[in-house]
Amino acid sequence: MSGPIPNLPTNLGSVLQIVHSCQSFNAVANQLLPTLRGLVWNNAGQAESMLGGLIDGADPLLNMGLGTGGGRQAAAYTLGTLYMLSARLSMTSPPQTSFQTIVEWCSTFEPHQARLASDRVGKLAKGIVRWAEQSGQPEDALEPLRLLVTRYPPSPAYLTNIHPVFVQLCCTTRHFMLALPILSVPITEIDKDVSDLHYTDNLLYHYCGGVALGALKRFREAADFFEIAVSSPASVASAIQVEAYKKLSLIQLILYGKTASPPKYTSPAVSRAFRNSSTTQPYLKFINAIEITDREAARKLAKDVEAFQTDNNMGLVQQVLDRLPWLAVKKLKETYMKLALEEIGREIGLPDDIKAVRALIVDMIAAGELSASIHPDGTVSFEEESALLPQPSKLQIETALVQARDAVERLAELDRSIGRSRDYIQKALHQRDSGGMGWQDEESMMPPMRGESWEDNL
Amino acid sequence: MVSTLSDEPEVEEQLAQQQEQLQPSTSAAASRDFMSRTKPEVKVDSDHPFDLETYISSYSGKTRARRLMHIASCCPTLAPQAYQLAISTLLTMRDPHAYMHAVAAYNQLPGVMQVDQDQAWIDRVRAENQNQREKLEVELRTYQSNMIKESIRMGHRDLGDFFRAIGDSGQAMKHYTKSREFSTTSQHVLEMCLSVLELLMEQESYNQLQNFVYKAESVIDPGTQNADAKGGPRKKPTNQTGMEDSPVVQSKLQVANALGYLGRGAYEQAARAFLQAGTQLGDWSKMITPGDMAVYASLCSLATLSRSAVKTLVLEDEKFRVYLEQEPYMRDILEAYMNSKFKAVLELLERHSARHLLDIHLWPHVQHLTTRIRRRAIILHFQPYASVQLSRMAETFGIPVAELEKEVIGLIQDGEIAARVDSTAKVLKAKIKDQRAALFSKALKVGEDAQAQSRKILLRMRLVQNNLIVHEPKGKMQPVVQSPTQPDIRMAD
Repeated sequence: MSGPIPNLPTNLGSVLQIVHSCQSFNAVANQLLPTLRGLVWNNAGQAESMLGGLIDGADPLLNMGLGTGGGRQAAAYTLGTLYMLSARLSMTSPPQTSFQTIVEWCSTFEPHQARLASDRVGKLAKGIVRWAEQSGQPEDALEPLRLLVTRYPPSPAYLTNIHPVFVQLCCTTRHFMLALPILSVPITEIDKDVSDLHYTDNLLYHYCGGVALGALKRFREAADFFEIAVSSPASVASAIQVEAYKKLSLIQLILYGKTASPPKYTSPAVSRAFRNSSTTQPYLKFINAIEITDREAARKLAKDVEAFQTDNNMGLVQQVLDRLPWLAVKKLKETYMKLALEEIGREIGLPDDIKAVRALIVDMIAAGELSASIHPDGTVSFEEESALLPQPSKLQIETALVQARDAVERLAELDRSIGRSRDYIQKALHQRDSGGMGWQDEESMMPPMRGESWEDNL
Repeated sequence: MVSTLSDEPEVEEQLAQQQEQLQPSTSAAASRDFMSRTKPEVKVDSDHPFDLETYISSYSGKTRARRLMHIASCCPTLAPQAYQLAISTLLTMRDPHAYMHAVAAYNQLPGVMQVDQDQAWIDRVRAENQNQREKLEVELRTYQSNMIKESIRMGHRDLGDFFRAIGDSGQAMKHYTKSREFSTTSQHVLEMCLSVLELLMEQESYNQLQNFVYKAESVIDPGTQNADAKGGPRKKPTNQTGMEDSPVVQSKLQVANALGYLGRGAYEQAARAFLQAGTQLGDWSKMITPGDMAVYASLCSLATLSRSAVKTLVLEDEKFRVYLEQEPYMRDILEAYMNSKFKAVLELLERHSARHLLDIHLWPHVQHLTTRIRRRAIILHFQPYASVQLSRMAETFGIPVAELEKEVIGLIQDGEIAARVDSTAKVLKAKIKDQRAALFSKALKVGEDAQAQSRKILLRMRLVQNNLIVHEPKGKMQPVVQSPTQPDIRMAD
């Protein structure tokens, strides 16, 4: 059925009637959706308060069974309930809505229907957070959001605008573990039909993801997340990117004792903002001190500067400092086979404290980061580096092979799909027609220029 | 004594002025001074022989004076002699500032017979310079009003030569470059370039040398170029013959280029450029002698080139032999190096360090080059061994164990030798690598990295495709309210 837009209903009762009358997916998409959109489009304020309201004091959502165990039957009416719930949760003084109702909706909704109105899903996510904050228990929003973010996207590789909301909440309520299942699947797909995304959604998701992983001491993954945030396409630098850059640098210091430059495709605006901004200067000084292994200067910088505190990076800075002796010992192991504890102490900045050095070595061996033995006479012999290298099992190699093959296939498929995409073919044809050498690299045909600006060089 | 003292401030002032004038052209030299280094104090004794008379006799012109001044400022034992020679050299030239500076410096030496400035000479030269300058400037103005290109060029060139002679390099540079605008043939450009190169070499402005070498090479016709001079990219064929195809010019350009590399610390390129310069340099004693060539090229090669390259390019090269004959001790060093007699190499380097440190172009690099040669020697020495006693090694090199240990550790940390030190037993041991495990772990890591990277790039591509690009917040984007007529309803699947 795809007639003209029916007359818009004027009260929630008649909306409910239409909701109940649309049984098939096509009906929902072609009749119910235009009606609801029309309602909101015509008079947003009024429509929202009507949709979010009650019918004669009775909660229509409860009546449908949401919150009382009838969610499975109500799933057929997902679109309608989505509009009602999202409208209700964004009202300034919403009618009483129970935790059960929200959780039940989130665990039973029909994703296909919900994707028809991606804007309402985003609204719902924000509404849930607001609702939980108003009731004074922000943790309550975690479970509904987790269900939403898991069930809504077509596959976990899709980014939605629920992602940043959920992960941010995980960070503010310090339930970092909850975010892990979501964070462990890297985002590779973005579809504006699935979710109405803004660039900040991507930045915020990867930034908060990095924060969560960093808090869990999964620094390698955290670095990946921050790197994605930093290297996201940008024509001007976003404050989130600069913050991510700061954290990325600190985490690199923890991991490797030095910073690595971000990928080539990082926007120059971001690198410039990081180098030149006044808020990053303490970081640059600190990084420099660590990189030239000037421990004293690093400690002093970390103590004096409030910038780290205001950025909430003091924890990371402290970890960088704690990590210094570990990295120093690792460096020694590259150079020496056998070394007395006193000498190690002198090299890593812990002179006259043999006990601490011994404890450090023992810690490192226990953590599996060092393979060495301490002799009774107080010398440490480091074993060959390759003794630490694990012999890979057959299974490991095969998994790696399968992964590599998959990756290649994915890329090949992508290549093919680009090759037959309209844009590409048009561009290629256009280039070939104009000039007759379409497929070649333009730059390779330009003669190299030199000695042109003659006078300027003098 | 009294007269010189009272004259001193004036001299200083003039020097300062001169320095200021030099500024535009010698900013490069200024930046070079950053990485330097006060002048070294050079000892000359029976262990470090140096014969000033023979050394300086092969130079002429300005470089002779400048070299003498350098020697005098570095080496207290030779200073009086060097200053005297410099003064007598300067008296044959037309630069009163330099002369007064030399005299003042000489008079400041302890325990020398004071000499008086030859005020008559100064006045005469100054007057002459003034006259000449006016004459040349009048001439140039006449040419300019007549609009004859060739004459204007010559006018500028003559003024450039004149200013160079009286030691005003800023003005000289200005006129040389001006003359380029009025050059009509490539030969003129080449002439100008060579003049500028000589000026720059005199001023030790190494950073600009390459620029002018390229400019000169760009006007040389590749068709008629002499086979003797290879290398150096050139283009713009002009189909003109003349002085540009002479091998002398080619060699000069190579030498100037090499000197530029040396001055900037690019020792490997310097070595290669010196070695390519060919034998046709002719007499360029106002700049550089064949002996200098031998020293520069050998030291740079030893510090940077591989053993086989040193053998084929330096020791066995027919052309370069001509230069090596000028400085036989250099051949000894090279041969000792090839025979792995590193102790001899280091001792010979030390013995002739005076010769190197007193060289006006080489002195800032001697320390650096020596260190590099020593490091390379240590690497070469350790190569065939699985483990070496540090004390034995120190003996071979003739340096103390502690110093050697420091050097070795530096080399390990730079990744130059794959070995580790047993600090308690003072033994250097080569690393044993489990190639199989290393390969596996490396392959796995590379695979992981590649996949992670392609994933990140994919995400980035999607972001760009969906226009999720960070942009200026122009009036804060409001979330778009969708109209019901938008045809974005997904088809049922």
